[in-house]
Amino acid sequence: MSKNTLFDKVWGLHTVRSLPGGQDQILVGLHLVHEVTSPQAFSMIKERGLRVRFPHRTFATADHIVPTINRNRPLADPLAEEMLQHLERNCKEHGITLFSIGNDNQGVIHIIGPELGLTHPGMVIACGDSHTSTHGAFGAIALGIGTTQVANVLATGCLLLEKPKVRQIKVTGKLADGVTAKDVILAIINRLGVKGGIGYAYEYAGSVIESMDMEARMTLCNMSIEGGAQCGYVNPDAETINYLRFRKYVPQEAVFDTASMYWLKLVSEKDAEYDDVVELRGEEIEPMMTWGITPGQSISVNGNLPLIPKWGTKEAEEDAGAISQGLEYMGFAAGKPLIGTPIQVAFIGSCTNGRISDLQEAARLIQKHQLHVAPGVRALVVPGSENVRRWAMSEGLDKIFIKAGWEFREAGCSMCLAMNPDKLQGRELCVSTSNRNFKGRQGSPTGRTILMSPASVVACASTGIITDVRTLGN
Amino acid sequence: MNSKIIKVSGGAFHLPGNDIDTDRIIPARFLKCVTFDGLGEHVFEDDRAQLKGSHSFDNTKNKGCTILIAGNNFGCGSSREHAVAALQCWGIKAIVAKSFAEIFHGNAAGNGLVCVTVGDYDHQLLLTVLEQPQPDEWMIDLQSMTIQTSIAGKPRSPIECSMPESDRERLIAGTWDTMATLLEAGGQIEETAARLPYMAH
Repeated sequence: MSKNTLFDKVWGLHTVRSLPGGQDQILVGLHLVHEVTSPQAFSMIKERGLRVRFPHRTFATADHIVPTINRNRPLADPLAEEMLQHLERNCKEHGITLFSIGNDNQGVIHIIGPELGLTHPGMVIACGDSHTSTHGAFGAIALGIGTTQVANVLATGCLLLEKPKVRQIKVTGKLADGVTAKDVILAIINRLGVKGGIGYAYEYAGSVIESMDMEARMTLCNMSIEGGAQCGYVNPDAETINYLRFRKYVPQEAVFDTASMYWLKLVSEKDAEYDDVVELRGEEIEPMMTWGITPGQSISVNGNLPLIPKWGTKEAEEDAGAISQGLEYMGFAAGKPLIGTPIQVAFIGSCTNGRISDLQEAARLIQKHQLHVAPGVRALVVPGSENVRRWAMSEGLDKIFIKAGWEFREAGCSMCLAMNPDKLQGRELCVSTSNRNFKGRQGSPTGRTILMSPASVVACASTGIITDVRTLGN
Repeated sequence: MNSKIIKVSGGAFHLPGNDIDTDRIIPARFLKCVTFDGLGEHVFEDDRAQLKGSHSFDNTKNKGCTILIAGNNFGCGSSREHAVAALQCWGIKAIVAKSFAEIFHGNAAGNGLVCVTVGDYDHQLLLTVLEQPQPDEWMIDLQSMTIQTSIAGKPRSPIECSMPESDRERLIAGTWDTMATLLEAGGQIEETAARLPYMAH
């Protein structure tokens, strides 16, 4: 059993009571709400005549269903409009702060939480969205929950949970040029598998993680859930404090300094004990790309697609099944390189890679190498929030993207899950900075996704084929 | 108080494959709704369309079955509770898998959808039973934590299955509605909040 980790300390601080069956009632200090998983939850509490317990600790936005162009109300899609109206009505009725379409702070919930300074170290954060793990970048326990649990948090401010084990994932050394946080997390999931994290919280540590900026740490923690973990986190440090200072919802002046000292005390102790420790060498990680239908089915960009094992153990048979299913769906041949495969769509955005540093890096590469979107490729930049969008525009990034043949949109989840009009068509192959390459994920039941870093997406969009970003030069 | 769930009986069928994600169980376009009503007809909609009638959920033999046999990491991906709702609307009352993704498991537990796990060997045994020409109804007994099967009236040795003890207790006692349990803490909730400086802001 883990001991003296940040996870243990924060869990302890938020334990309301322990139940005989082995579960703990955990207080949720920040509840983030969006339009897709909340309407039924609000109905559930209404049916019971309950109110929102901590409305001042509850914040909402509209992100999943919002169009990224033509956002005039009522929205063209009547179902989307209905969901938005439900959210607006529910927030108003319960006194919840809402950043809806038209608000300067609207954006993807996991982008705006940190950006507005709502996310602090040492919090327990919950949201009806699996990518809540993003907020772990600050040293918070950040949990994705379902709708019944959303109702629980609304009405009681609490969740009933079994304490997971804690696995430390150490990434040592340093990363090579052209390798990003996205490649690191894809490499981790590749190594541990998509179910490797079941029953665990992941603590990311080691020199590679320590030298990451906050936005890179968010990309890393964001995909913890794709590795099966309940959440992922990084211990807070000076980088964390510097990121948070002066943000809208952090304490100001002297109170901030007091809070910072408290936050830094929460880090895992030197004598902390973990249920498991895994180590990866930073130098060995290359730009990663998925080739199949789970985020664990990935190779380094220059690698060959896997061969299908012919015989062996039951486990090998299952692997063979997963490999052949993935290859068949994607239309790829076993053992062949992925590099050189033609693509039709490029997407930069999502809670994984829709932050300002992602857009800056993409624009830097475009400008430096005079890149233009290849003929026949549809390329989309969707900022993660309206703040990211305005920041990008203030630096002229929108003009760089548009001149290079990209569309520059308004903020939302967009083509990560395609609940809005941004969708793949037919069998289109999309290089995407998002987090899931599941069958049909990007809106076409037969559409195909290759997950990668923003830099790699830019490289592929510019050549029209799968390309090693390192061949562009720095 | 919910209904007590002590036993689940009914026909069983197999959905092959591991890592069946919730996008596949209920594609995102069906999440544009403000209630969970009517999701049952869209369960696995895109997978079913691609298999043109040969998907497990389209097999007429499986109609009316209540027990689903799945592989590893069932329900991974998105937190959408719509996945649990869609399966329940279709008629699924229990899932036997090698493992479940955590959020799906939590969603199921809070809605009285029974999720039990079995090891590789027992999983294979269960599949062998399903392959027989006349498998009878199965029974999952949460008191003895066993799956009882028989073929043409001849009972086979019960197979042990597991689930977290707290979930099991709650299903049997009919207290799987987590809201009621959480509300019992009453003022302890505010006391805990008062100890956390950030809760005041």
